[in-house]
Amino acid sequence: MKAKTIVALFVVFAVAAWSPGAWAQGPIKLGVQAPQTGALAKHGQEQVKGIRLAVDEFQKKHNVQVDLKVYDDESDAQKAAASIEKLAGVDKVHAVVGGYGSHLVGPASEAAERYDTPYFTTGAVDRKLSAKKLKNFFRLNHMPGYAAAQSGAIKEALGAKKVGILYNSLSATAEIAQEVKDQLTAKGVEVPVFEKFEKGTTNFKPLLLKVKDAGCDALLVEGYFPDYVGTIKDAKILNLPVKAYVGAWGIGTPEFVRELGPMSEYVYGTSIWEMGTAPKEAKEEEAAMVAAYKEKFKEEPSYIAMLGYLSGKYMLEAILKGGKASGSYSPEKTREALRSLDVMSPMGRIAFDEKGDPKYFTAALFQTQKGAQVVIFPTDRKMGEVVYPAVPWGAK
Amino acid sequence: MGNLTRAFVSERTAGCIVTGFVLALPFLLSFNPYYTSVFVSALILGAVAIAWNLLAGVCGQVSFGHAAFFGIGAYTSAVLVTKWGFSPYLGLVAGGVFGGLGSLIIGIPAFRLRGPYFALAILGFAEVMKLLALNLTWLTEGSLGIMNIAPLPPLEVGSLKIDFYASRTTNYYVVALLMFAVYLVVYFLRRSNLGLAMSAVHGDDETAAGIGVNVFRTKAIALTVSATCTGVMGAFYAHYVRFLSPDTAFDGYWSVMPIVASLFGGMSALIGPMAGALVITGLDEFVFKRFFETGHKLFFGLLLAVVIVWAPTGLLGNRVGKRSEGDKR
Amino acid sequence: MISATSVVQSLLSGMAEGVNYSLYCLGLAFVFGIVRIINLAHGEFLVLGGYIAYWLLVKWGVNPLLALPLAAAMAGVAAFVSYRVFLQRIRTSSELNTLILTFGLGIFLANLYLQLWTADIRNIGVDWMEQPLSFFGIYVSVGEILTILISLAVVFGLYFFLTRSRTGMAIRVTAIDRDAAALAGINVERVDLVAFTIGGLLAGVGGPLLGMLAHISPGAGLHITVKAFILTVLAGVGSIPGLLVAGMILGVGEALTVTFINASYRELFGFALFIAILVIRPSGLFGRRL
Repeated sequence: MKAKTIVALFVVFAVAAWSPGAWAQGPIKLGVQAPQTGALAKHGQEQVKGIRLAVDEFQKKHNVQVDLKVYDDESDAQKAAASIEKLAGVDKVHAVVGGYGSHLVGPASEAAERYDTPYFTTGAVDRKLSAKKLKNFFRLNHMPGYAAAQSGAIKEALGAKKVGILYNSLSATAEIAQEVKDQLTAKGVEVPVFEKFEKGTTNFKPLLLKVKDAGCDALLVEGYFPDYVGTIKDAKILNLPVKAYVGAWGIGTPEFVRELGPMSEYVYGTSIWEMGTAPKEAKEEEAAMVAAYKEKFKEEPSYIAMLGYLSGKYMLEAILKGGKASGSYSPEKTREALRSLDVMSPMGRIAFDEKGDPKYFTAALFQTQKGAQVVIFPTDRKMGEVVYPAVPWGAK
Repeated sequence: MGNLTRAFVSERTAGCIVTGFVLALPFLLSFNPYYTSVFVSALILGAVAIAWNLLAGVCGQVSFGHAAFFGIGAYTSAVLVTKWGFSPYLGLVAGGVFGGLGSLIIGIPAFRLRGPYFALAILGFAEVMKLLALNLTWLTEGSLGIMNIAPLPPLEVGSLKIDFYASRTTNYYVVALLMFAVYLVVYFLRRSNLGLAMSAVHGDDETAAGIGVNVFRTKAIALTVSATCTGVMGAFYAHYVRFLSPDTAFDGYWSVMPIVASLFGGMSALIGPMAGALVITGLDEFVFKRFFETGHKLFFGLLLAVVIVWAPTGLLGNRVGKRSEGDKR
Repeated sequence: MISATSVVQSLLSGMAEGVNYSLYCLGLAFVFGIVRIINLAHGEFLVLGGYIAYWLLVKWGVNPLLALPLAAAMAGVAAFVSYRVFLQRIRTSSELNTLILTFGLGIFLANLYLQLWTADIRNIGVDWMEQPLSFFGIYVSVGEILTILISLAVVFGLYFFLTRSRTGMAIRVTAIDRDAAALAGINVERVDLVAFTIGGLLAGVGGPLLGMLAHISPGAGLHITVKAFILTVLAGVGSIPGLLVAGMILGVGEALTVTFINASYRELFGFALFIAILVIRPSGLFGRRL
């Protein structure tokens, strides 16, 4: 009896707490869920910087106040979902941007769906995320776009015949490694070495020796910063006789060049955006963003910051556009506005399909030349000539 | 039997107070979904801590690797439900069973080890389990993890439909129920003859054997019960968070935090670990995060050190349980 | 498929990594052997040393090898303060309490580094030390040779300190029998403090080497602590030369697992070995009191 009363009570309370109600026109409440501490802290922090810049500009441009709420998910899946409970359930934000890492975005995007709050991420590429067909889920980048840039460049720009792939066992890198391997095999490129290593590996020599013995032309490392540092250092010591060193993401960045110095030269990596890679139509926007970012944070924006910036910008505009159309901000209108988006941005054309995946996303493959990132593939975004064969450790 | 001037509370009273608090908490938080979800995590932790403390506080065998049993339980249920269409409720049971069985694999060879060595053996086991989850891709999907794990299906109570997909509050009461069940198991186990045997083993293996206790069997039961309860909580976690990867299911968090919660709350009281879990979560959420959004873990580490040094028996330390045990005899 | 040179090269790389493993874990093993404290903040002390060397290199171009004494000293100070403020007060309570205490200190330090130095991953790189040398088709870098020499020097230095010097003997006597040592007029409290501080110093030496051979970041400590644990158990508590052998077994085993099986089983090798040793021979390979 008593239990029933309690059950009834909390159901009543709970329902009262969630009914979305009508939102008054007024300040836009934008929520950010991103790792600020823990393993992914670095990426999450950059992402938030980009978003903050987008908020500043939006306020100036449209003279609409934006209440920004940033919650740290501590790189933890439970906390990621809890952050959304707080943003969507308590603060009642109009939309959420941010999210880094598929294992955090998975639970977070589900929570956002429960609250019918649009969720726009720039840091989760796992295919399964959009396979759920959540109506509130949007993202700027996904796996096939990265893999296509890598396999395309390896086959066409470099003309490598044999490729060794080493990949970090974490989910995003494991997934892209498999995808690239499949694409390369389909293109007739051999992949004699395909091996997974644990994060925290420091001695890469035994792995690299396998690549050497298999006679690979190119070494492809699908990993993260520490993995690039480790493999390049060990490849240098072994004088590894490959003709190209390709990394997945987060390679060739300013931080990378700062930490590795001359050993960052000639590496290839995929990137969504680097300074100067914007298509013609978006050059102006790119320059303005970079200048404003430097002014605000006293450092160069990384591609993660750029992605954060773009997600913040398009999300805010979608909320406002939807709000103008109907007189109040509603998730439905925001979603509609996002779905009808089709613009040229510094990272190329942006539009979403019905699952929230980007329709036109392709990463670019660049090579670090004299510390700068020179896009060499796809050919229409090409900024310079490829130096091949060449590796950071100067082997032949 | 110690200091009678202290305010003693029997284990039963303390258990009732903490349980009452747990039941009332969502009302205190006015069903704020965020805080409710924070305390769902706290209750999961608390239940694992109670289970851990059966092994450590009652039987004297400290484990550094309860993440092993938590992860086994979580994966068991997730795999059964997503791959073979089992009901999640059955998954909770299966999670417990496999958690218990898993504990025997390491327990049987490790029981003859003492003190830190036993603890470390279980830690190693947890790492091995995590690496297996990472590498047995056909079963666990490897590092990609298992996504879209079904939530607990709705329950029909009379005309009321209790849903576990959207509501945090219903999940809260389910985990509170599980926590209470774990507590009752531990409570009655300690009061039984087996509990006496465990206390004897806690003192000293040889002495216990000398008075006719089957030391190996006693330890095995304590570990298995502890691991089974932990496995059930792992299975609940899988259906609550609905995403599992080797890194989250076998996270060192599930090995370390139950110990921390137990020490905080006091290991001599069976309900102590639960109280510890609630207090830690509350402090982190309501105090440290206010001060320092990105650096709150810094305070947490410091507080941990301070409590260990200046209040080593924990919150409920010497105040609970001792006398009621004396009364029984 | 795998050439003989590669097997030899892989073996050597494992040995080199193994020697450095033993340096990374030396402080933890020493403190555990003498003071009976499992110091879970060990990795954080080591990372502190790494950051000292990194900043000296970046700000003033100081070679990380010259930074070693300062790195060690700072980590030593951190250990000293930790002991005086916290550990000393619960010296007599259970092993579990000191464990949790040092765990808390570790969390505190890791998050402090995060606040002070951001989450960036730092690499201590000096060009001439990264140049490869070749002997009969086997490659090795100048830095690797130097770090191995340093690791060996520190391990043997500690060994001789313990067996030859007065303080070293006092420490050993205390480790073997506290009461007898106290009766013999040794200030055992002081010995604990000194030993814990030495543990910090030893950890501090490892940091710059870790930064040179791999990289450092605020959260890098825990992984090191876990590795150090494994090695301590493998070697057997109290055996300092045993650490070198255990380190090499681990390093070589990991390398050969990669060469002959698969890189994804590298870590599994370490933990499987760890459990096997615990179960078959809990005192470790060379377990005996100092």
